[in-house]
Amino acid sequence: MTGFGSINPAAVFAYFLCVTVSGIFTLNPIISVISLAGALLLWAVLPVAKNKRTHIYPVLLTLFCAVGNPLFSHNGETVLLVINNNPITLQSTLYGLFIGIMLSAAVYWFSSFSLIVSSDKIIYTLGFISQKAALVLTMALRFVPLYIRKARQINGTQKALGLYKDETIITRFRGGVRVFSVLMTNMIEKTIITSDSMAARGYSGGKRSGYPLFKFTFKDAVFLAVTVFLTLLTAVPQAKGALDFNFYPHIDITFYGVSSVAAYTGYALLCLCPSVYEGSDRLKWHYLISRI
Amino acid sequence: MALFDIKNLSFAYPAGKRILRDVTLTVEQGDFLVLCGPTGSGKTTLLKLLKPELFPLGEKSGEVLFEGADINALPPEASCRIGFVQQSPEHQIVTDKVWHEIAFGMENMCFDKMLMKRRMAEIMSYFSIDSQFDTNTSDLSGGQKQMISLASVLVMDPKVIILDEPTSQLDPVSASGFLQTLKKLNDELGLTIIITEHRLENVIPLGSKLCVIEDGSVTALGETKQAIKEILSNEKIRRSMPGSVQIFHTLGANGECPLNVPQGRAYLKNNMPQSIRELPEEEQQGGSETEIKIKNLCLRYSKNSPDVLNQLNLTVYKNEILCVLGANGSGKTTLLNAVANLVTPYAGKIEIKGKNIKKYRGQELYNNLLAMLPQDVETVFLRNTLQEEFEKAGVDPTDLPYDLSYAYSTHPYDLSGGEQQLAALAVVLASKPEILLLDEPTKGLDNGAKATLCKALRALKEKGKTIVIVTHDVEFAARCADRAAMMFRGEITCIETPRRFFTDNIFYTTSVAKITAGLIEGAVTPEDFEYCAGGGK
Repeated sequence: MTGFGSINPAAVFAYFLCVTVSGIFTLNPIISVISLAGALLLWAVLPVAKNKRTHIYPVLLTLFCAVGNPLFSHNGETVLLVINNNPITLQSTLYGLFIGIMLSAAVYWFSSFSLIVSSDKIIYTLGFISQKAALVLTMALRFVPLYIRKARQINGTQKALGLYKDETIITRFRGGVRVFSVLMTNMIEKTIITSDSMAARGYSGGKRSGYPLFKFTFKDAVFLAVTVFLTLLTAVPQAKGALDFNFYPHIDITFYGVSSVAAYTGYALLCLCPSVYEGSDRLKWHYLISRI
Repeated sequence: MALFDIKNLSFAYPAGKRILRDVTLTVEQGDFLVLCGPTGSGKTTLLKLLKPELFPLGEKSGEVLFEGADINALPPEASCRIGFVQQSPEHQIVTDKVWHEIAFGMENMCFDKMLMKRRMAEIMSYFSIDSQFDTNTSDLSGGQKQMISLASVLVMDPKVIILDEPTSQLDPVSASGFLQTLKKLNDELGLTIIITEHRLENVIPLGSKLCVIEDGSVTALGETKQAIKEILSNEKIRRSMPGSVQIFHTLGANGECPLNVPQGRAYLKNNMPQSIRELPEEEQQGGSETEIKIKNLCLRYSKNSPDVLNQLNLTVYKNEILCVLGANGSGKTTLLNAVANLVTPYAGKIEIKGKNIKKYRGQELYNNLLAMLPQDVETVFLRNTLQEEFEKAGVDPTDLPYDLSYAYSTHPYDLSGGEQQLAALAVVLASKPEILLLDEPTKGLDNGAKATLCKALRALKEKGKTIVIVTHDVEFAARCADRAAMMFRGEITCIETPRRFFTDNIFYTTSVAKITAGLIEGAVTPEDFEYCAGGGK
């Protein structure tokens, strides 16, 4: 992987944690719009195959919130129309829209996250917290495809045995129960082999270490430092109320001069970080190639 | 100082019979020791008694010394020094990625990070599996999985590797590749190897020592050629030996025992029997009535994948045993699944008893007509004992050509591979099928079990069943089939009586056929050879 994907997974995790958490807890529509823009930009520049259908969910989500919220919440002073004696207000609609945008931004951040973070990276990062948890995760990731395949096999076997009928819903349900029961017995029997195999290679449930699959380089340290700095630049003024925003009874934005400017620019830069890194990395390659 | 010094070792499982009796055995550094014996003779138990983490529970007497020290007193770090590889490729893998599987042992032992990277690089390069570093373990073939398991043990730098039937679940090509790797490790690094196997054809020529265990006792032990001479009089064990050994026995067992095909040929040339009796002409077995007719069958698993079955044509006659042979990925299992209507071809036609398979509604095809036994027969069993299993399925034990009543109270998973195969066969027979489809029925079976299965299938054929078997096992096909077919790239490339088939094949044939090629016409099994060579008598 190149660009953003080549950064040490621990730093990448820290980045996504900062950008999503501070994007959600500010409860500020301007921050949400910045967040959505940054997330979309990153999603677009990542050099991996993407599924266009990813867009469906954020759009539906935004519409759902914008339409749904005013139906249940009737706060706000500007009444747009009245349905069943209930006022539909402008503020409530805008609030719904804001929630939709905030959630959509999160969807895009997580989508980018899943595009560049493989299971290896998750296990590596989890290893910093607990090597045992990392082991459980890697074992689970192995079990799932194994037992999906096994369940299919059992299903075929039981069908071709010719002993059971599967014409009605009840017999089909019984068939499903049968497959599940065989699968469970099989799993329990076979885990003995796995546990023997673990014991034979020195696993005792005690302390274990992790294979250093990724390096932590100077570049990663810089990226992490920038992430932390920009997050603090947003979070500190926010704690003082520099990002306060009220929807009800009427829309009201508080502006605190320098500290608000710092908070908004800090967050905007934070959102741009990975895209800028990705872009600069690509420029570098472009120039390298033209020099060759 | 010997690596392992086993003195008067006896062992019994709690409330069970004595499984090992007074075993005394010495393994020197650099030995390649092959342990063989029938199923249930105590081989696996003996191996587990050499690995402290896997000690079985039970009553033990005698002692085991590892490098001169009592094995019970070994410190936990010593687990690195004794490597252990099990039978099942699927279940001894712990993690989801190849690199993690190989790192697993090193992580457990808390190796230094630099050392981990170095060993990883070494082992990946030695096995040339570096391209699989990021591969998901679930995407590997059985042979590749076993190779990864071996690598993951080797990376911890063991003095000895103990392997419990490592190739019994593999196809012949992967199995011989795996054994060659062991030989290479033994030759190049002087690594000590202790291995048990059912299929002895390939492993015996590689070993430096042979130990035969029967019923918990060592009945022959020594340098391979010497030990073989000791057991020639024991028919049960001799039958499981390589073809060359059986030819050696038939020809009077004089001189040095040949272990592989070239040695066998040389021995046969020098000891050619005086008069050779011709084999009787093989008659076309089975009926001539068409049971299954497959026309131009094409099948693929997804739109852009290559055809798994490619314009396949095949006719199966009523009341015959047809063995379909072929390499991995040639489409054998898919062919069976298509006939069992578990996968749908995109072109072509399958007729069963003259009726298109698509015209069979619902369960009609599986009612008293066709049944399939999968490769993994454990997926058949549902109950806690064999008796319950048989009652639930409606098995009539008097109808079976074999007897399993001694195992009625056993859990199906605790049966041996051969017994499982017969039990599953009994369950399948309960629906009174006329056509039986079997996928790799001899996988993991020892010679005795194969012979029993072969007898059972012949008996079912006598009762009028039609049997189609998909297998890698050339020796089994040579004994059991009425016709043998070769499958390659989704088509049937030839189909003949087994004797013709295995005589005309040059590469894909039995070891006896390889040894006798051009010397004795048509001898493909040791029994054929005995018949020919016994000409004068």
